[in-house]
Amino acid sequence: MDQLQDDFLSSENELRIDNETSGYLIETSKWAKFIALAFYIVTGIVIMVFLFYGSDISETYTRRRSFGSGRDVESAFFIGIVIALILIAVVVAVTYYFLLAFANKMQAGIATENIELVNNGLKSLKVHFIIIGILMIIGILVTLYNISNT
Amino acid sequence: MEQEQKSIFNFSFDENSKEHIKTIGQWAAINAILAFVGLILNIVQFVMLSRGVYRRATLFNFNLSPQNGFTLFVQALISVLLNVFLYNASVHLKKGVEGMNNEMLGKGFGMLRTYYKIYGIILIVALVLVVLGLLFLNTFRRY
Repeated sequence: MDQLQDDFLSSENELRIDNETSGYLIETSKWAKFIALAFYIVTGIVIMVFLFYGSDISETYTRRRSFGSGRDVESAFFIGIVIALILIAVVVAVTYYFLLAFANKMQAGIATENIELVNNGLKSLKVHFIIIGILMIIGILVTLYNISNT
Repeated sequence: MEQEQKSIFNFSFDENSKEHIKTIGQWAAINAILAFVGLILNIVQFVMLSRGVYRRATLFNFNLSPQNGFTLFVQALISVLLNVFLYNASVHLKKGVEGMNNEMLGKGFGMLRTYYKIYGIILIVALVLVVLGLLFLNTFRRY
């Protein structure tokens, strides 16, 4: 009983992972896992579609945009799209790997009450947020370039 | 029962966790602010396009059409909804860690949960719309 009282008093001065907080963290992990997997699946589908219909897409697009005709323009466009797709796939893979890692580690950490796993999960979420932040800065710079380049 | 209660009290965030939560809070705030800035820039770009300021195509530029206006409106709505929760989560997480306030920290994680929940639901809706759109296009092509 004394031990329990001591634990309660010391817990007043620390940040506890109580039932409410752990419930929030587990639910966050479930949604984060779903989002990460959805991004992986969608990126996979886009790459598959391009692998099967890539040449048709680039042919139609170059014709519609009046970039010119001929095999050279089409193949240049095709290579450009392939490079862009590889870049997008790498960015999505890395960004959402950390979100998935957060979800897995956090769920395991809460279930086993292992603070090391919880910390690793939080670290993964931190890296995910940093990558998203850097990508947003790049996006803003591109938009600024568009606005200034009138 | 006693054992169970003791176990709950022993499971606490340590110094490492606090550092991580603080950084998560900082970057969540940065991301929310950057999202608002990006949205404002997109609106500025759209207004400039609609007034015919652009004389030539620019990098990653889009064609002006009523669909772009609607897309921008939906994007703005989603962005504001999501990032208000993200910003509030960041404020509560930071305050919770700095003030050693369990209630505030709980609220922060609660808002982070709501942020991801809304994000997930929007993703489901978007995926369903894309699938329906593809099915519609496929059917339309046949006739």
